Parts: sequence; structure tokens; C-alpha cells
Amino acid sequence: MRYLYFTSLFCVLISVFYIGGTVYAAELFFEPKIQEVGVGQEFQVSLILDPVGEEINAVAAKLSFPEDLVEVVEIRDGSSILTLWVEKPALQNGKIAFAGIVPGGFIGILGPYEEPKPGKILEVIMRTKDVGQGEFTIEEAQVLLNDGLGTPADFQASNFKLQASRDIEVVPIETFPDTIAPEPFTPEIAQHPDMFEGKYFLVFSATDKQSGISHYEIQEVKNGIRETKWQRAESPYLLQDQALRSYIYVKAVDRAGNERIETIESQHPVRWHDNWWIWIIIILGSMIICIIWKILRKRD
Amino acid sequence: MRNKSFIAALILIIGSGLLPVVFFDLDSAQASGVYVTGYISVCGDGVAHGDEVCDGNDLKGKSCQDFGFSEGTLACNVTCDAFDTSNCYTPPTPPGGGGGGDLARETGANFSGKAYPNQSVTLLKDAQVIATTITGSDANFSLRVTGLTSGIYIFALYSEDYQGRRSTLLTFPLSITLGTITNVTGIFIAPSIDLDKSEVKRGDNIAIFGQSAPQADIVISVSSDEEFFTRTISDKDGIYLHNFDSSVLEYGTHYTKSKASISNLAIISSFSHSVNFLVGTKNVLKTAPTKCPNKGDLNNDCRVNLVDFSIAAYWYHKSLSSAMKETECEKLNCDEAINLTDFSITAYYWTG
Repeated sequence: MRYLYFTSLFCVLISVFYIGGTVYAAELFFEPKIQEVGVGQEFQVSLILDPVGEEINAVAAKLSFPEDLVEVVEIRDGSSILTLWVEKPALQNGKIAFAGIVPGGFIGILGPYEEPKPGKILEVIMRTKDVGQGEFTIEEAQVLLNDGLGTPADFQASNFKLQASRDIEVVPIETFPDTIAPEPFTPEIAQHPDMFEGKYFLVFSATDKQSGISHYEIQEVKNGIRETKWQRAESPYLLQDQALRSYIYVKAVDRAGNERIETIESQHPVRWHDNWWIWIIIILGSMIICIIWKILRKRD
Repeated sequence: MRNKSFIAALILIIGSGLLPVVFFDLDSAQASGVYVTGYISVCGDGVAHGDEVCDGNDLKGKSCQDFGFSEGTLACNVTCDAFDTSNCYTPPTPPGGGGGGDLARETGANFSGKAYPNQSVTLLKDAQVIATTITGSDANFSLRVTGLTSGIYIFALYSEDYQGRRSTLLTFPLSITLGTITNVTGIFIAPSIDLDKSEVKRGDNIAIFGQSAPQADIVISVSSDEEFFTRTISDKDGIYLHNFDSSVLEYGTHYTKSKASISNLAIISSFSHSVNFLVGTKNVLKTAPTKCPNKGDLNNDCRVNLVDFSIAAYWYHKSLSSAMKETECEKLNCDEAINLTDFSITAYYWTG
């Protein structure tokens, strides 16, 4: 009987510990969590978000890595769950900084008869420079709930450990050629008194599911005929033609060089009498007709 | 006696191991408030899930004989919603024409379910509007997206009720595989919700109303320190109304939200937006509903989209002008700065 008493007490304590101690927090972690690589070898690390039952709609962080041990070769965001970047992932003072949102929130990637799976935020291709041990850390991270208030979510961040040594054979990273253009997108002309002194500007955002978007280029042409010269641009872009008479072409270029061009028709197309060269033709034509008419009259 | 004690102890040990597992599931579902409404199946993955009639070689045990033919090869059509009997035959009749070879498959996704009767449903792909449709009088809708590539897509759906109130945004992050059609069925958009008063005199009724599918079972939650639940059924137009007796509530601010279910279809929605009201000493009628989102609409066009995101991004980590401070206070979190919290608010109210 005493045996039963102690076992019951043990079970109750264990249950209370489990129930009371269970913490439901989102997780921000690297994949893989630990890796051994050779010197001079390129390797890939992904930053993953697991919402763990929460609905997350904004994430920002700075990823710190041992600069004496590794260098960044490439940052890929093509397969990111963050659909809009407030800060596109980039190197800033030796750290990879990013901030982005998922409109509507992210609860995990859904599949048939499966629990929601964690989603990738970005992946980094790095190259080892020297022998040694190092750790990638997640700093100044913010993970916000999709609750309309931007409430910070409870989350746990875990680091990535790297061991670089000479006696490990270099294995190249498997790459798949990206031959697919960025997804179709819809640029939009907008105006707001608190931006660009109330002038018209253009907003655009494209996605590329393979290598990710590299940059955008723009053309504003009045006659609608696309030229060969493009201008690099970022959204929001202050339009040069504030009369909105130009056709606007926006080109999204992915990291593999594939392009998608979207067009905005002229809002106020140039009318025929707005073209100075038409007036010159009319005047010259009229003069020629007058001269011919006078010559013909003289002959009569 | 000693043996009995030992067995009882063993049961308790096993029980204690299982208990946390059971609590984990219940607790996480309730605490998070995150519900996935809809059933997902992938047409083209060779496994007939959910509503799929068949998928590739998975014919759910059917053969040509089940369709009145004596011989031949039964196949599945490209959309996984019907069998392809074109290669089934009964001798001496030769096999029917056509067929053979792989059918070219599109890459895309289908979304179907219930919203509000005769109202619009909007589908977003990666935060941009890609398709809209109007539901039937039974509130059913179906939307199809094709031309996708392989990768992670964030799809989202919302509807607007008969007075322009928007539902919550229901998101479906999906991993799309080339040559497959992902079917998301059984979606049930959350009800719309509104109140007749912004302040109710304690003891008087406050009307909680909105729209869902016809004849849906509506559960209304009124919460403050204590949470009250009440039920009603929507009418043939999906409209529901419940007069809530405020005498059970303390003075102060309270919140209400609703969700819907249709038991014979085994579908349940997530909770609606939460709306607040004050229990006080007088009745103050609420102004007419507006189609414009409460927050995030920085350029006042009654939409929250890339333009609003871009306006916020322009001021990100910059000192705000006095005019922008006013806009930020009215449309965002009023902390005189544009930071990630403001973008989170924008993401919540997103309309595309």
C-alpha cells in the first residue's frame, strides 16, 4: 500500500510538472544545427521559423557569425515564408539583418493529414576561411503575433555550431539551375501627402520561388515603345513623369538573370496635338500645299 | 494485495506519461487560438487524400469492372475528381479512342468552401489579389489558381458580408510541387461581426450580429475576466443576431467574437475579428459600419496593400513628419515611430 502511495505521489508531481512547465513558444533556429566542414568549403545554413501553434506575421533579426572563420557567399530568400521584406536580407556591419512580414499570418506549412511544418526564412551560403570552431547567433530578434496589435510572441532562438578543420573533404553544394522567370506581379501608381512631397510614386513587389529576386529596373517612355536603356530602381520609386503620360515598364530580375516585365499603361496618353513634330509636319505640309497652289495659279 | 498495488502503480505511471500528451494538444489548440479550417490534398502525388476520387495509380481499389466494362485499364483524370474510363472496354468492341500516355498536368491550387451567401470572396497569393468570385445562395465558393511553379506559396482568403464588413484573413501556406494540383476543400470563412452599440447601459441588451453561411450554428464569445458563450443559428441569408444581456458583465471594456459550424458537413470556422464595447451607465449607438479597415489603411483608400506597406516602409526607422505622426497615431500603434509592430498591424488588416 505504501508502494502505491509513493508511486501515486510521484505520478501527480510528474503530471503537475509537465502541465505547469509546458511552454508553447515559437522557435527560431538554424538548420542544420551543427556542422563540420573543411577549410575553403562552401556550406548552406537555413534560418527556420516554427510557429508551434502560434500565428506569426512579422519577424526581424540580425544573424551574427564568426567573421574570422567564415565569409558570406550568397544570401537566398526565394523560398522564404516572408512575402514582403521591410529590410531585405543583407550584410550590415558584419551581420545579416532582415525584417519581413506575412500578411494574414503564418501557422506553418500545411500538407495533407500532417501537422503544420516549420518554414524557411532565408538561407545563407558561406565559405570557411580558417580552421576553428564558431557559433552563429540570432540577435535582436523580434517575432510578432498576427493579432492586430503586433504583440511580441514568446519564442526560443537557438544557435548554429560550426567546426572547420583541414581533414574534411570539400563537398560542393548541390545547386539546381533556375530557368524560371519571377512570378507575375502588379506594380501600382500611388500618391500620398507624406511621401515625396505628395508626388506620384510607383510601388512593386515580385517573388521568385527559385533563386529569389535580385533587383528591379524601370523605364518610363511616352511613346510606349520600350527602349534598351533601363534604370535600376527600388520600391517606392518616385516617378519622373508626374503628368503620368508615360508607359511604365517594371522589370524584376532574379538572381539567375531571368526577367519578368510588367507594364502600366499611360494614365493620360499623349494626344496627337500634344506632339510638337505633328505640328511641324502640319505647318510644312500647309506651306508645301500653298506653294504648289501658287505655282499652279501662276501657270493658269 | 501487494500485486494489486503494483498493478495500480503501473497504471498510474503509464497514465502520468500520457496525461501531459493529452494536455499538450488541448492546451496548445486553445491557447494559440489558431485553427486550420480546410482539408488539403495534392492531386498528382499518387495518393488519393480527402475528397480526391483517385490520384495517379491510387484508384482506391476500383477497376474497369466497377464501371460496367470487362477489360481495360482504369485511370484517374488530371484533376483527381473522376475516373478516366477511356481505356476500359468490353470485347468484342475495341477500346475507345484517345488515351494512352501521360496527361500533361498543370501546377496549381483549388480552394473551395463556404463564406457568406451571394458575397465576394477574394484570394491572395503572396499578399497580392489573384482571384475573386461571388458565392452562390448556399454560400459555396470555388477558386482555382494555375501557372504556379514549385515552391512555398502563401495563399489567403477573405470575404465581405452584405454590409461590407470583412472577415478575418484565412491563410494557407502551401508547398506546391511542379505538376500537381493542391486541393484545399472544406474551407469555412469566419463570420463577420458587429454591434449595435459602442456603449451599453449595464442591464440593457446589446445586439451582436453579422453574417455566415445559411443555417450555421453560431457560437458567440463575450469575454472580459470571465468568458461567456452563447449560441444562435443564422437565417437563410446567413445573417445572425443575438441580444446579449449585459447584466452579467462588470462595468468596463469587453470583447466579443463569433465562430460558425455546420455539423452535418463537419466544418467549423475560426473565430471572427474581435470587437469591443463598453458596459457603462448609458447607451451609445454605434455608427454605421464602414468598409474601411480599422487600421493599416495609411492612404485612406479602404484597402491595406502594397501601397500602405510602401508608405510605412518609406518612414521605417526615420523621424516622422508631423502629418505622418498623426497618420501613424490614427492608423497604426501611435508610438510616433514606424517599426516592426506597425508592419505587424498592417499585415493583420491586409486586404491586398
